[in-house]
Amino acid sequence: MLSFKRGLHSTLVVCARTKYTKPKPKPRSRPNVRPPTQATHHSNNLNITAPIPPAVANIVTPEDHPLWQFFAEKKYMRKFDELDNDSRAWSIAELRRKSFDDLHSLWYTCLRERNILARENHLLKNDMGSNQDSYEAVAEKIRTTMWRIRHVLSERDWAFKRASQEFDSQKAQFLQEFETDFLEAPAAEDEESFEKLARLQQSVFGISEFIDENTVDRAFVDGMKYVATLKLKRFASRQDEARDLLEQSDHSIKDAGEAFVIFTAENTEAAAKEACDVVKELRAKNSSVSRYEELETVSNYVKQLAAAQMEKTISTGV
Amino acid sequence: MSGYQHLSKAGSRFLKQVENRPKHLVDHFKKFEEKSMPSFLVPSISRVEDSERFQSVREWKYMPGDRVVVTKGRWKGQVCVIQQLDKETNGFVLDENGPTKTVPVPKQFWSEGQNSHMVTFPMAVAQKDVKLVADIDDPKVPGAVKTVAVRDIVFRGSYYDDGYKKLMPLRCVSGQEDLVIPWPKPEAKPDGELATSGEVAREQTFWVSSIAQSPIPQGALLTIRNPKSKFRRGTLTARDIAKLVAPKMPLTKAKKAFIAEKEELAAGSKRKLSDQDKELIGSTVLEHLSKKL
Amino acid sequence: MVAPARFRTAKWLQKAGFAPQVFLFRNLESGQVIYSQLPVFAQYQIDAQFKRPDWANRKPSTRRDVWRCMAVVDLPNYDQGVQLYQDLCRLRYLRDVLDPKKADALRKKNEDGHVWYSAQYRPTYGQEAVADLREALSKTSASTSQIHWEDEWRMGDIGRHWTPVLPHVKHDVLPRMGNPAREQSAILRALGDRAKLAFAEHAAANKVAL
Repeated sequence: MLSFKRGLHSTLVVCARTKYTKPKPKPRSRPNVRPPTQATHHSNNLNITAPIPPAVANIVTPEDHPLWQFFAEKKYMRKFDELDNDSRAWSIAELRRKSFDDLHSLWYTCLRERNILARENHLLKNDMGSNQDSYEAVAEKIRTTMWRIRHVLSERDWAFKRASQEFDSQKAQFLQEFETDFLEAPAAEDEESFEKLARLQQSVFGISEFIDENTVDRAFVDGMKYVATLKLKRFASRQDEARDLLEQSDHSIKDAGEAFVIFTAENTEAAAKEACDVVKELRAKNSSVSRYEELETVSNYVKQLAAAQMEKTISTGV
Repeated sequence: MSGYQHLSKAGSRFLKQVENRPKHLVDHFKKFEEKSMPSFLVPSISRVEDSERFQSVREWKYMPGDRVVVTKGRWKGQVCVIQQLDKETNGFVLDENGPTKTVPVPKQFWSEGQNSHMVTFPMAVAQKDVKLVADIDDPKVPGAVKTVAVRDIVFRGSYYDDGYKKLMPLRCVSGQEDLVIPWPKPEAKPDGELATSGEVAREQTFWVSSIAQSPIPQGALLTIRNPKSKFRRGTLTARDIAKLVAPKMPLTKAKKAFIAEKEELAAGSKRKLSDQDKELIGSTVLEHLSKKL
Repeated sequence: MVAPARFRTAKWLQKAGFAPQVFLFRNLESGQVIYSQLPVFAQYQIDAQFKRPDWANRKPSTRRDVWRCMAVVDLPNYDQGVQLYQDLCRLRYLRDVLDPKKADALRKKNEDGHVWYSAQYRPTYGQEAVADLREALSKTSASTSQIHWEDEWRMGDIGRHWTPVLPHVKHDVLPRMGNPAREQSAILRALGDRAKLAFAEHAAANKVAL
């Protein structure tokens, strides 16, 4: 036999353990042996069992799950005859009649329907490998409505921009004409005249009747001054205070604080008189609003007034 | 066919190429199709290309519910009612009086209650093979109507049809245009679930109230229009110009050589006639003239 | 990661501040499952638990984004935790090495006779892990234990598969608020803290009883 263990022949022979050599002595018993760190062992009676499949029944889909929005009546797929194949898209002329809010909600209605159709179409094309275009045909009609909505809104915006450009040149004349009409109206028609004034401030200066809806900008302050002056002029023929104030202030109110006081006063002679008194007090105190701080000051006033009105409505409501 | 063609256009150019059959092979393909398809799927008149399909009622001329008379073939002279429009072949499917064919149908396509392989199908009829049948007042017998076949119809004007819910052209008899043949009444259908009722659609909710406030919120503007659109920019970029201007034609070898030669000539010094040369020319001319004259 | 890179004894786990738990991670791509004593794993577990890799059961990578925690098992004490881990590994060894034919006979096959798959994914591995967990728990002498599953779907039909064999095991679902994939480590840590607390209470109660 070849021995591949390396070593000198003599030592190998001497060291070899055969059944004739003496066995090694047992190791001495040690007094403090460390117990094994690992005591457990795997069980020996383990069996291979069948795989446990997951259970769909464990999952309860809530009724208001957001992904239901991609399903029509919680159906996996609608049949072709369940689709609305006959309806047509909204025409541009129809959409022109609708307000922004209506168009906005119509847009989202369309979007949701298209989401559903896109999902069904994808299943049809990808999963079932069909080349039917039934879902796409309906979706295409809805898409037509959607681009028409955008078209109408864009058209509206252009119309507004062009109109406001043109109106700039005619504004002064228009206001002048309105002023003569307004001042010529008899005192008995006060209510109608002031209603007209309210409409004017909305249409030309964008000032809403409800004070908390307004955003204070240059147009707002200018409009406020114009309206205040007009109010004073209206009452000047009947009231000495108003006339005096008008003459003192060179027939137009220039200060934003004074204008705000008169603007917010009610459209009666008594209220006008009160407002005139307040303005005179202000002048006596020599308090005026600088033109550079007008916007900030007026917006503060508007906020305060809105808060006061809110409190009032709450207290009366209670 | 990956099943993603509705989402991606990848590979669509290639598919288009495949679908574009060469014109001289169209008939061949058609014949092959007829041979290879089971007879109950083969249409009686040939299918038309998608671009040739009828789109409007003006093209169809007759609608379901119209009475027509067949003018050609075995069923010549039969008066039938149009059941439906066959959009694949631009034909009309007629009722049981019209042309039919009886063909075998494999069992997996059997309908309920069927107990024979042979099924009778209506065959579509082309538009040129039918004439409209109408009842008109008999001019000879006042108060009575007579049934006539109309050779051809023309369309004049239009009106809103309540049944079809759209503008329909008036159908007149060709050559006697005061004779209007009304469209058949379509089957009444309930409005679809996506439909909006007419009153709601017509109701006006947009009113211009102010010239100081925009009718749409500023935040919405960016979503309806691209303010930086190249179509509204008014200036052309270098890229646009490169696309609009045709490239220069490359020069041929001969042309290039010619231009090079011209340049070389132009670069050389200009030769001037010296007095001596002028003298020489003059003397030569004089000599010539004196010899001839 | 050093900690999971070798077998850990019960004493080490307790000393190092881990809870008596066993963790199951599943591979999102292939559906394979790793068992671990710690809330993390390393190449060690993959080497130890995929002894016979082939084309249908490749050795997975340690990419952390493709591994998700599938279940966490809470056990009453550390020894049982270690034993459950050993049993699970043994069962994997049985399936892969000792009796692959028996394991293969129970698997769903496709028309070619291979383990059913879609792309790289073989759902049978995850289902086998659930079955093995049940088998190992039933052979471990754990009186009460709790399993936190990643979702209700994974645990299978409790009435049919779990209650008849292990009526005392409680089933629970890992919290899924927010982004559980991103928050996984935090969720597991919180779970471990809770389990440690429960173990301490249990030990104290035992001491009082003694």
